[in-house]
Amino acid sequence: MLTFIVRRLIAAVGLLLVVALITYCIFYELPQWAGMTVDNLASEFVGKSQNQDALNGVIDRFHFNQPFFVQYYDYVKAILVGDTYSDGTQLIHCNAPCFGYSFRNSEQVWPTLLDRFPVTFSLAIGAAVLWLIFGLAIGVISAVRKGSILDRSVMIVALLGVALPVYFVGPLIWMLDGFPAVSYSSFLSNPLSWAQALWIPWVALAFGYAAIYARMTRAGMLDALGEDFVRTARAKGLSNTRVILRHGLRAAIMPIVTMFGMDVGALLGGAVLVESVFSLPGIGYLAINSLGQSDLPMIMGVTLMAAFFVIIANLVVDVLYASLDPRVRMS
Amino acid sequence: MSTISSPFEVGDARPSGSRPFLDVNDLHVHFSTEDGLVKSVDGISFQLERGQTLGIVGESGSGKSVTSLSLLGLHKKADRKGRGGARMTGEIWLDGEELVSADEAKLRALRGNKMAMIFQDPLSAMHPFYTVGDQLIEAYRVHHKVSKSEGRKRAIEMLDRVGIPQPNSRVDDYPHQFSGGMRQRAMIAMSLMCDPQLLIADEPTTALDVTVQAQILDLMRDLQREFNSALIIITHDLGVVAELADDIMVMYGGKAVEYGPAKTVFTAPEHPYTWGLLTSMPRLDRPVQDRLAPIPGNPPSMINVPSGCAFNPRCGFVAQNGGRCSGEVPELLQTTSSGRRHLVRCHLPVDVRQRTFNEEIRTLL
Amino acid sequence: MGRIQRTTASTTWSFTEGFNRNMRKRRLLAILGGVMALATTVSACGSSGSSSGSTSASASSFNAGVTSIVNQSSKTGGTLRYALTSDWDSPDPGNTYYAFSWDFSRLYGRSLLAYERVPGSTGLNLQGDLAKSWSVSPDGLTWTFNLQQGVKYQDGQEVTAADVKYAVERSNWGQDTLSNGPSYFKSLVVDKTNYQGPYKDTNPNDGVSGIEVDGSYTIKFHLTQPFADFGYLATLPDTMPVPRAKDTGATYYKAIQSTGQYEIESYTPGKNMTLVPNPEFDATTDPNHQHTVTASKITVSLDMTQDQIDQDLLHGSLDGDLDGTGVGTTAQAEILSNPTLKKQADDSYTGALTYMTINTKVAPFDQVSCRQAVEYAVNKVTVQNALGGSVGGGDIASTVLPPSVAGYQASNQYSTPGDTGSVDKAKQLLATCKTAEPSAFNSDGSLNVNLSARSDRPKEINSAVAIQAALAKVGINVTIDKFTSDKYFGSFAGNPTYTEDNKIGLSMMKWGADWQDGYGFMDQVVTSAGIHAGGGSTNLGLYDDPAVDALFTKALATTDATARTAIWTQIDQKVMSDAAIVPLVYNKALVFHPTQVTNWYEETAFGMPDFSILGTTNN
Repeated sequence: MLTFIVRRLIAAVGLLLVVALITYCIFYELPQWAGMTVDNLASEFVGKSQNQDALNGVIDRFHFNQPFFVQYYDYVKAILVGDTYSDGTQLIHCNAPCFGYSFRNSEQVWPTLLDRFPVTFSLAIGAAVLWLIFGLAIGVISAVRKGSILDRSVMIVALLGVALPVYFVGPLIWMLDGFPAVSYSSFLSNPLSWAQALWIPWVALAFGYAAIYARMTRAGMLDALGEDFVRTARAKGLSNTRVILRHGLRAAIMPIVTMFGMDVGALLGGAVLVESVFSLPGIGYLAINSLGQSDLPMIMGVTLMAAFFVIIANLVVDVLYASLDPRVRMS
Repeated sequence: MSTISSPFEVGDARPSGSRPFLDVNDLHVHFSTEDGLVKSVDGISFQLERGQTLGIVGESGSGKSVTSLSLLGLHKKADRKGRGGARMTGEIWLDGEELVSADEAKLRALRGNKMAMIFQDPLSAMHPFYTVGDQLIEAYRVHHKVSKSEGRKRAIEMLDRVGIPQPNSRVDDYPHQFSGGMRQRAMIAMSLMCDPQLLIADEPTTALDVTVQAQILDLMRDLQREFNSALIIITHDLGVVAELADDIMVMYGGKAVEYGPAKTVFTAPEHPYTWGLLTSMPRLDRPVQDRLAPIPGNPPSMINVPSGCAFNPRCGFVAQNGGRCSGEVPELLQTTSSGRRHLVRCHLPVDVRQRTFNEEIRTLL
Repeated sequence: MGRIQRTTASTTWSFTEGFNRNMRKRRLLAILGGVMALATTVSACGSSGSSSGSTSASASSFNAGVTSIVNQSSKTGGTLRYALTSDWDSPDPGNTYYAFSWDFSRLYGRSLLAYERVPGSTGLNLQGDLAKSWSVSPDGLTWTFNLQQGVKYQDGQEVTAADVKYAVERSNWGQDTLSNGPSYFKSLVVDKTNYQGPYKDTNPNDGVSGIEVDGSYTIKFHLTQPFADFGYLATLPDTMPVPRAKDTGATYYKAIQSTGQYEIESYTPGKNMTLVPNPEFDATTDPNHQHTVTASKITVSLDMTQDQIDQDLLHGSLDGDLDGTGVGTTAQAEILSNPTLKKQADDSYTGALTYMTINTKVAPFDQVSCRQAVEYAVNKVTVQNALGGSVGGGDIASTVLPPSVAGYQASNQYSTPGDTGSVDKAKQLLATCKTAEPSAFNSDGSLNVNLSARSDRPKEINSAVAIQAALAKVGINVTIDKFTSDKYFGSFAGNPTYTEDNKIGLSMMKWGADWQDGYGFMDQVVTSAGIHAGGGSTNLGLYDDPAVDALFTKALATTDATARTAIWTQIDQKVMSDAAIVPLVYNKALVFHPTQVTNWYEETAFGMPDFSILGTTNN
């Protein structure tokens, strides 16, 4: 198990390097292959005056004129050992892991990511708890009461949930409730106001997921309840609840665990839509803004962060799967 | 043979007013489906005492498994309009209690406790995510208020009893870590956790290879003696019940077509379907070049049961009997030839049946 | 040069289009959400209507803020809450080119001169701010400013003329580090030593030779040529003093030394900014009342969605949309359909013009007759509708200068009935053109041309389609070439090599001025100063007429304002008679001001509300 995890972590680092390389390529090499000059690249970071001094300054500071692999090497090196750069009047040290600084406002990427992460984390966790509870509960009830009016109506709502995007649901709930302020405040300072100010985005985000999870749970439960071992459980004289939850749900939950891990992992890399709809300054919103501003270091930062969480989620899911399903062996 | 007499022994002096340990009377199990009413079990009756073994034999779809599940009340009950589940009528008396009309709580208290079931294919019948021990302990603790460690002691004891080596460590293994035979032993152990008085084994050896089959059957025989339980073995394979069963009921199309003491059914079967089962049974004591004689045709559709005798489309003796076989459902009647109770559901006259068996069938066996 | 006005939304272009694109994406989301907002309009209006009746709504009426100060009040205290769909390029006064930022920076900085704080064209008059008085030498080459004494930074240190010099040097000569702002001073001020700027040349004794500090309170700018608009330059945040010792270059925005009535308490890019009163601010150094403490705290929430901002404004939980670009389409419908809400709104000129350039270097549009044919062919009514109608888009335009800019004079050299275009006149001129340059036409007499537009600006694409339809009627086959905003000027429409190679004869364009006069508006769009061979041109039509350039030189040497304004009008008319551009609409924006907001008016100089003077009746 331990060697498995270590091996996977080493592979993860390699994967992150490749992700970094590709991202670098897409945003800084592709445009040049397509014929853009370094001046063109730099022009995006210069005000309307398009002063040549300013262009040269940008090219110089952002290393646009250096060979691609030198830039990439410097980037990776900075992550490992840190970097030092000048803001014009003094040298600034950027400790490892140094993901560089924003081309837009010279803010260092790593502290910015750390600053934004709690928002995304709060969103993801709050919504995840909601959708897991509701998704499972609705799915189980629907499966047990298959064909009932309850089942049918819940599944129609679930279909809506799958079909309606968060930027539709979000404002809808928002409107129904007469616009309570959606904002982020630290959980540590006041858990109550944290939850109060975030519940709408939670619900908006959780709605679609809960719908998918309910449908998956229902399908999985229907399969599981038809299994021989469920019949065995009944034959043992177990109560209905125990049969459904301990035997049925336990078997149906495996694909949901996988999906849950991956979904939460993906969300931790930025809940882009919901953060945008509610203007919550999380990783996803940072990603959108950085993309819009061609702010490469930020884009690299959020991309690597998102990739990191997806990879970690994968690993966690695999480990979890092995611990949940005794038939799976680590190799 | 045990000291308790078979219900079929003529002249049996039963205390008046007392029922057999298990008394199934005119049991019907019908399912409403979108395609129509399925009469999976259509009026069967049988009796069984503790220490006795009944073999229910038939092809898949004959209603034998439905019968066993209905004994435990494991069918989902239909709603008041008769939809979405099984509609059961008739009577099932177990040790003086009627089960068809019993509520779920009562049935639950009996299930796994007074009556237990051994399912075929234990790989799918045991939960893959719980250890064998957990599943055994659960079976025990649901009916006994004991601690986990006591349950565990009991589980190890039972695993030991069914012949699993090193039960102390194997108790923590998962089903997939057991071999097929061991799994079936574990399954049996699970069914025995609460000392059931009625044990139903549904195709207990189907998924096993031949040598293991024999071991399992031996085990079941030993256990039955030890626990003095009533045993129902459900199988499509007459060979399985040949040595084990006291009585045999052959089912076809949801109905019993022949019912009698095992010896009689094997030595003097009177229903053409039973003949078919016997002639199609592979036997180790016969030369291999002899071809088996499979029953022609397929088991009947349960939606469109053939009119008259359900077996008539596949029966080779219909011609000797005019249009009766396809026009009229035969009764399950006592044959006159035997001193013992021997019931057969066939339009052929008794003498024709006996002569045909003696002259045509016996030589094939 | 043109200021990046309405930086974030839909008006002028900018190289920092990333902000705009990004904002637009969010607005798109907001519009999707807004479908439902429309459905609930009735109830929402009901509630906010009742609250507006209680306070001084009587002082407000539709467009009142265009001509008067609404809810004038000297009340202090309370928190003034702004929101922005985007973020600053930088709040550093020496490194910013956004209109709202220039407007807002007056809260924490004092430039040499400032605009009079009144609505209408009077609001374009200059008065001293940091400067007590100023004068220009008779030859127009030396501008002298005498500073107020006793002006202090937030840390208590006194402001000197050397700090103003340093501020101008860092923002104009230090663009290797501060790349966002304008650089007018660098192009005008005498620089004998070819100064490398304070970041490359760290010797504090070096500097620009043409900026002379005379004692602590006098600063002189020596120019290479007369520049009558220099007073406007003195209003730029470039001249807000910066103490050399406290300058941290690219990160100075984190430690701005305020000279205004507020200081920046905190600023987190992408999240928020908070300002609190600057205890060192001394109102006696501000005789023109340029800086008034109103609220006891000012907050700005950044990167909000337009929809959220609009709803918060309508519900009174927000005091101002700092973009100044007006409300989104959803809220616009809500406001216009509700008389109570409409009273609290202004539909005012933004100072920007939406137009189409005709490339004078792409045959056959080197022929004036061909260009004039296009002028006649365009149906401006369909274009106006495509741009959002009269409220969302603006008024139909027929001059280069919008009405809010000094030098504007109503005229229409290509008048057509109902502004719907004239096919006959267009065909007539096209025939003349064909005679002069037959090789540029197809064998069937039609003409092929490409029209560039920005793919991420739906209204611009819509208007391009409307133009395409109108030109088709006169035999000009238009192919619309779409490019993303961020590459529009650098690589495509603003790259002369590209436009000539790819026959981009027509280009969609939108422009606002850095200051509201002829030079401020037109210099970069109709003279050679706006043509850059390597890309980045803002004169997309490559219109380059020595007579026009000469008129600019003449105007800048003309000290008499009236005479100068007359020259701007003359240039406007000359450009129109040469048919270098097709004016489409004078942009307008519908801006909403909640009832609790005091001292509200539309500031002509910025084409948006004056955000540095607002107060709130809330506590």
